[in-house]
Amino acid sequence: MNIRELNNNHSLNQDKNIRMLEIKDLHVSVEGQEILKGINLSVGAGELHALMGPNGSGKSTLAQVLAGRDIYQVTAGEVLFEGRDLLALTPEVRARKGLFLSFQYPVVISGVNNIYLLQAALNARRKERGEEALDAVDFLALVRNRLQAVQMDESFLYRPVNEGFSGGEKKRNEILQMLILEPILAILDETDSGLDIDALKIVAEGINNFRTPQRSFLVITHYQRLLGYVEPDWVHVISEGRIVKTGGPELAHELEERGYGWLQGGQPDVTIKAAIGP
Amino acid sequence: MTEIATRAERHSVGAYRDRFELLQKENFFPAADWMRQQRQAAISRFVELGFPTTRWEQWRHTNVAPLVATEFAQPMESQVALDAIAPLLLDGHPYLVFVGGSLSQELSSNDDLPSGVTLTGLEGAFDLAPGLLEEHLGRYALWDDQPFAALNTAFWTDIAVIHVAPNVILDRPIRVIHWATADGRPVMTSPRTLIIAETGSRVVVLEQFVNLEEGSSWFNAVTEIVAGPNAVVECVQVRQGGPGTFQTTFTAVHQAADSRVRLHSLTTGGRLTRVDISANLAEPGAELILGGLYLVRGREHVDHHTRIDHVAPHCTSRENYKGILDDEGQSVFNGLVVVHPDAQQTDAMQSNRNLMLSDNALVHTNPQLEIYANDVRCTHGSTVGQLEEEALFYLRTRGLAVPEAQRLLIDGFAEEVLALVNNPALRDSLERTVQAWITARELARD
Ligand SMILES: Nc1ncnc2c1ncn2[C@@H]1O[C@H](COP(=O)(O)OP(=O)(O)OP(=O)(O)O)[C@@H](O)[C@H]1O
Ligand SMILES: [Mg+2]
Repeated sequence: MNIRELNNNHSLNQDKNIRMLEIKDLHVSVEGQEILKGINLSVGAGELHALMGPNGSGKSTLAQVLAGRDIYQVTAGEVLFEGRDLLALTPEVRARKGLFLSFQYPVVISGVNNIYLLQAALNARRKERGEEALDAVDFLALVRNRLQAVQMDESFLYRPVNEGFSGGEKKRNEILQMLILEPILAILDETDSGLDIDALKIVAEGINNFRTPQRSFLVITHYQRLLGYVEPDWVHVISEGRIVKTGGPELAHELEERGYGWLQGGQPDVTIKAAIGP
Repeated sequence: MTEIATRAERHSVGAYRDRFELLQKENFFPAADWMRQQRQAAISRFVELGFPTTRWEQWRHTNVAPLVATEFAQPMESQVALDAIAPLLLDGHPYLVFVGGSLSQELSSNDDLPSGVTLTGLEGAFDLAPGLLEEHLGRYALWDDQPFAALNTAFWTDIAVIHVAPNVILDRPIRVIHWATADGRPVMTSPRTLIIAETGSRVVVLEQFVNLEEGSSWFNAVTEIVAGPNAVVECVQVRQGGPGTFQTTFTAVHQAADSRVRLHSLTTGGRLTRVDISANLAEPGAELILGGLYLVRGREHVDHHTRIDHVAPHCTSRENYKGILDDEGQSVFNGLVVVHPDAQQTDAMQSNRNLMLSDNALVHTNPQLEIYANDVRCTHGSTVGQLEEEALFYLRTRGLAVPEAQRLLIDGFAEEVLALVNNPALRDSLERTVQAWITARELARD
């Protein structure tokens, strides 16, 4: 049985009514300009959804709105996270309740050591779950274990968050945070972009080992390459702020071959090809 | 307005002159002949200069009118409980405590020192090599255009002297604590410190200016640091005071060949603080690191004026000052690096960065270079910015509440300057002081 079958079997046992994430007719504007024009998306527990689409179609905007970025105005629609109103929660409460966003462009935090942030973040999450803060020994053991999973050197712990990290190191650092915080919904915004093939395999393996029947993923990507390692249950295509097509894993292959043009009527097929790279 | 201010100022200058003459007549001041001459010259110069006004180029953004308008008395002998000072001390480290400008031997602990290290007030300083004091005291803190340094030179009553003999190394920090007296009226304290590190020696000093009283108090301090050939000196100056505290301090650094000096300044409180630093890289191979952190809130005003003179070739200077400003806090940074004609191969970097936590805070920053040599590497720059919305959001998506995220970012901003402190005990102590400031700020906002 592959992971997907396993997950599907498990999800049969779950309460079908409560979805991990339900986005209903979501409209989002920034500076008076509408970017998301009625997104509908439903992610069940244990499911992995891939979200693909050309540059500027609104993928990161959706991810950031789900995480609580307040520079975006939600003008209509609603979002339910395990059945509760997600948009009413502050970003930190969303995180503590198990929503995790891996940033497309992870932010540099000068003067703050990686390990310090990991500890503060984990303690916040544990507190929400009614658990005690880990003592220093257990915490370090956990962090070492997760470092190994993403094949990062321990020295990264004592460097300021993302400062001087290469593109690939930043992405791995995001995955490290995810593995430590153990979210129930992980939104990965182009975590595979800029990774060489070895790093991609490490990240993919990190995700695969992390999949459980309870944990859901929304994976934003331009590349079929990642989806070759991490098999999605569903693939969605977003264009100009709307989801224009949804299908199974085969849709990702089709996009790779044909680009996005055939989906949005008359636009050239260049975007995806340019994005595929070597 | 100007007319009245000027009259108040003249009146005030006259009052200090009259007091000086009275005290001099009563033989109040320690009296070696050369000291007497220094004092006399200094008070004359002070009377000529008067108090600075905002018309002076170096005082454009700092108005000392409230200081001029306050009548500051001469400190009386007074008692400070050991309990009050204890929290400031590091276990096992030697220290001198000056109360109202005079050494309190019973509060001090300066007997456990390696041979070759002298830590003493004026009285003990006469036991040093003959002529040593005369050779150094008042020779670096030039007060010709510094009215406050001139006033200190006229009025000091005791001095902290730290002398380290050639090739003697002491890594335990020495503390010099200047405590304001509490006698219920505004007092002018004139702390004076002289640090002499002889050839190849090494010493770490923490100078602390503390006024825990509610009332008005003025520290008018002068510190002179002399680093002999190949000597290593690290000195941290901490200024903490309440809303009635005025602080004017002048620190002069003189560096011989291949000496290394680190001078850090931390200011976390006080109504008006003016810090003047003048460093002279007099011989080749000298290296200077100037670090500064000022945390300003309420209606506090902090002004740093630094001047680094690269006189000799092959010297290095690094200056990194950072400010964190909240409420209606104001800061001034004026950093001047002068590269003299002979100072080829100078390597100088200067930076001033400011973090604004409030829209009502105000920063004046002015890094300056004057270069008269042609083969040099000099950079300078300054920034004024706010907490980055993006960084704050990133931390919140990791579960940190807004105050916690802010604290981390403020801390992170300060970290770069704290990291310049070499001595671990001192660095820890400064980190705690910064944490305490952040906590006090959070409490004030609740
Ligand atoms: N803060 C903002 N201010 C102004 N415009 C914005 C802002 N954020 C996003 N946009 C605009 O919204 C549109 C969607 O941007 P978004 O970043 O969501 O695209 P994306 O699908 O993630 O693209 P990419 O594949 O390049 O990452 C773009 O036209 C972008 O310029
Ligand atoms: Mg994007």
